[in-house]
Amino acid sequence: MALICLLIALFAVALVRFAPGFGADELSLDPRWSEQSRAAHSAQANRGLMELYWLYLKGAARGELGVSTSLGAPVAELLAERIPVTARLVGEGLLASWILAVSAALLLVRWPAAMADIPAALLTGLLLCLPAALIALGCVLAGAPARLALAAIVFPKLFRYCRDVLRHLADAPHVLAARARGLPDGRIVLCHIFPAALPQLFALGGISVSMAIGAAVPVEAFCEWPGIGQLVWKAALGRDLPVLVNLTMVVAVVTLCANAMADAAVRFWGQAGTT
Amino acid sequence: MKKLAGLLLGLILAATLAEAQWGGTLRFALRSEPKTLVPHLVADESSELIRYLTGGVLIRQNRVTQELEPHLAVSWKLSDGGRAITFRLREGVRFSDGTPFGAEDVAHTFALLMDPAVHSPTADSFRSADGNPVVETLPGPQVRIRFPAPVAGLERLFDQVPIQSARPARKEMASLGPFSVGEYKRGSHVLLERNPHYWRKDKTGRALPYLDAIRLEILQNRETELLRFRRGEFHLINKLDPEAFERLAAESPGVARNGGPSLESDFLWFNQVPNSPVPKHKQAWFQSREFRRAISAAIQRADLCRVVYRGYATPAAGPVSPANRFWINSALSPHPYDSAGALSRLKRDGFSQRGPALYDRAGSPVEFSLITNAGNKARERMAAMIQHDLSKIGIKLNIVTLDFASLLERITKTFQYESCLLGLTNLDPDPNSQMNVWLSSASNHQWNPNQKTPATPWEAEIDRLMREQASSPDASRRKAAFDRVQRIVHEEAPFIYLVTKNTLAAVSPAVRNARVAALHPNIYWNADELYLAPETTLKKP
Amino acid sequence: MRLPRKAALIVLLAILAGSVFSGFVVPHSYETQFRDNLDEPPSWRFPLGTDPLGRDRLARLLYGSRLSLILALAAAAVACVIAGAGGTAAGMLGGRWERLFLGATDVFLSLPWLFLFLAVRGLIPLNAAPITSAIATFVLLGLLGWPGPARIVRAAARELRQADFVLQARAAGRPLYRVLLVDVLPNLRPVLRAQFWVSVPVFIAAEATLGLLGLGAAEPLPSWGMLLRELENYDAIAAKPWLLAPATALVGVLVCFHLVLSKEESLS
Repeated sequence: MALICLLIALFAVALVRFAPGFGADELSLDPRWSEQSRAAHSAQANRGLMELYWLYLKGAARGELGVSTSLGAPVAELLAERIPVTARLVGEGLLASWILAVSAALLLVRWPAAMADIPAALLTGLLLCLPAALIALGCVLAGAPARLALAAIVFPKLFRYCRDVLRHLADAPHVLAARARGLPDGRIVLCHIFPAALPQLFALGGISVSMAIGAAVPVEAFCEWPGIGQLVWKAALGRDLPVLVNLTMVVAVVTLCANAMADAAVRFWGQAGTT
Repeated sequence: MKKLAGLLLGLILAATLAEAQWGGTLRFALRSEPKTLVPHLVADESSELIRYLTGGVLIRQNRVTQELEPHLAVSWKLSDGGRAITFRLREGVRFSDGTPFGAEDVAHTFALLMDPAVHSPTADSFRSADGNPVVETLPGPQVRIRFPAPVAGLERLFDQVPIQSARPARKEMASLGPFSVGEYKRGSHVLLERNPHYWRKDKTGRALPYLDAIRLEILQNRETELLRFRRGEFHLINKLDPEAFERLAAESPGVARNGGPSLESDFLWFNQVPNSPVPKHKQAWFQSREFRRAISAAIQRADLCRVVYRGYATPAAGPVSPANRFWINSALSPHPYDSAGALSRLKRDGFSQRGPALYDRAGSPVEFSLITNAGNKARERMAAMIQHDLSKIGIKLNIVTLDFASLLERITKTFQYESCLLGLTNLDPDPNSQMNVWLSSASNHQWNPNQKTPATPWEAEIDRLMREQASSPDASRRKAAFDRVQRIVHEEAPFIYLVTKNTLAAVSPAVRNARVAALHPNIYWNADELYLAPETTLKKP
Repeated sequence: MRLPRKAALIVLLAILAGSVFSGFVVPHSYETQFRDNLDEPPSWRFPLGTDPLGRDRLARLLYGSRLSLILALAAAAVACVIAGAGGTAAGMLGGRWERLFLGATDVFLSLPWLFLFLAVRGLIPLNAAPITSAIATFVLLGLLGWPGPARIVRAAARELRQADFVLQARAAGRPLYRVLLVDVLPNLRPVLRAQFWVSVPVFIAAEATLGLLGLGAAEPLPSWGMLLRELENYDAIAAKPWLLAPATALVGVLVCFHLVLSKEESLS
């Protein structure tokens, strides 16, 4: 994991450093800015990749995460203020979307009326097609909490996977056998179909964290939720390297942990299944 | 009789007092996080607004009349050919923390500002030559500041310099303006509290401001800002979009305020940098005055104003807005739309039309790209309209929208572009603040910056005229020189000026004394005179 | 073929025909600006009204559907193929190959790929055709959209590694690639189908967001993403409900795809 983190940090620094516009400052268009000031600024902006990477690692090792070039504030302070906000939004939103997605998928598999599928497809299609910004704005207008907007954005993706996986397993040999033995439909769904889907659902669980973090960006921007999603967009536009690299590391650690937990769950379930 | 006169006077006073309501918190949005609250380091718009609302300055430019007014200096005098300025300071003034204001605070402020490590536009405005200014405190109380070289428009520059306390404790938080920073929660809001020691008084002799506080909510999204204004959560919106302005004006007349032309204009220019990656045959086009004038004549400015800005803009003639009453050369008018005239100019320059397309004398089809910043709806629409207009004279324009940082890199460092559409906001109406735009050796001489020697005779003439106006203390001589600069720019069209936008704002019915000014900070310029009447709800759409 | 699937297929073909032959369906080009008919409501002349520059919305919708549908479908297919191939191989091989693959997906999921998009935009010549930027955007979306679904495919493939029919096929001496193609991949169809179905609108929306950074379709070329961006304004939707046409069309297309691609599965 540590090696992956170091690699991610290096790639993140490289991506930001070599993106067009790195070091460009809006101040350069201010005609009041003198040549000396411009020269002083560009000297800092022209550092190479390895120098920036090394500076980042040195600072991180000492617990100093640098100063944001776009906000003029210590990155550690920014992250300390904003991570809990986003964590709460993502946690609550993701929980809501999972509950909705799994419940809806199980219901559709339990009562698979052909015409029930179309409204489900319509609703999820609508939520997928509407811009995340519109969904977030709608929540602001309705006075609904931001986590609802996040749930509405993530739910259709989760639902689609859950529904398809569960539906496919409905034709599995062991399910057919259970049906042949006359077991009630509800029991078949809960005890035979759903457990067989769990490895894929666990894997989806790991991915859903990345989906939710991605959805947090427009939700926080429109719902004015002062989390890291708001920060990331501004930092990206301003090529704010200290903020971007540290945010990448935060996202990386969360993603790695989520996927590691998902993988562990898959392995555990696999072992439990064979014993 | 005496009793009757007294009663009448009392009634008049009561009526006057009844107009201005004391107290309340004014609320509006701050569109980005302020980068700093330290006045002499300010370089972004949000920080500049906070500085304006909290800072006490020696001289203030009235944003409506554009005249200079005495603030912390009751009078001032220029001497030594514009190299020195002597202020007589207002007595009995205190900072928000109760400590007295004096000459040593002016000296301290200047020492901070002129620190070589400080690289802010405000500080750089004072640096006319090598060497630091010398500040002398004189009895009176007076302060004289002596510069190594004349600084044109010197008095106006003090409008950007809030005086900071020289005393050690909380010196950055002690303010001389109508408000001081009470609370700042990053990502959330800035709360400005009333300065109980503010020196300005209203007509009844009571110390301003009327308001108890101003709460600036950090809010980047314009739709949410408008929503909250409609709900009564915000009292003011500055720089409203034309579409939002129209909607509000239709719902609640009086709420939407049109302040007339602003100091903001949109323009385009061609890359004339000789060693840029632009192909040589295209460089030849861009360096031709006839080509540039033809492009200008082919653009329908009236349509840009009507379609993109819904009529809340005027065609621009040059770099100076009509709102800049003193400096505008009123003899100039915008290049008129004339597509036939444009084609004649191009033909004179060796271009020819074959079928729907235009070709240069070497037979290359006339096609070039225009970059502008992505996400700016107005500029994207303008670019699409210009593309449409130029297609009528056989020119193929390729629009490329780029994120701002990428665009900046191309126009300031790599010069990998052919033409660019951008906007300009003049914070300072004085042309001296634009020296770096007009001098051919400067970095902001956008079409061909950092020239060792002027590439053309007309650029050499502009250099001479700008230096002349910078070194002259006589306002009329400066005006004459800058009028001539504007005429040259009008004739040669290195920048093709398109439109000057109007200043559009929204003012809640609860706010009194609000007037929209063309100069920044527009609707907030007289925050110390604003007051809140009993709440009147906005009509729901 | 059941009625809903038939109807869905007909609708899809009609939309495809409308977008390919848009020049015959509407008389105006998507780029012509009728400056005396700005922001007009639907009429006989302009069935979906005009946009703020006076351009026919129907023409822009039809032309935009050609661009977005084809490119989004292609990008979704690319992402699914990479996810399917990589995830299946990793799940079946196991061991260090699986760990390497999982590490690669974690790296891919964590990196700020936005800057790669910006770099690619910087490499495209300024005078390239407007569609070049759109193609580049969707290609990148396809090439970067595989890690998430690949992990799910890998989890599913891992389960199948010990399935009886797979063990039987391996024991019969069938080459691994045939086992993957013939025995394993068909069982992974639900995951890949879900991924495909989700990717299309996600990529179209992503193209819209990337348009804020200069990526995606360039003026005057319309794209569905660009048209969807107009919806970020509640006032406008309330006053002009016809702005919802692109979203309605996209939902309709997705539902039709869903009906055409889904197999009938039920417990009855």
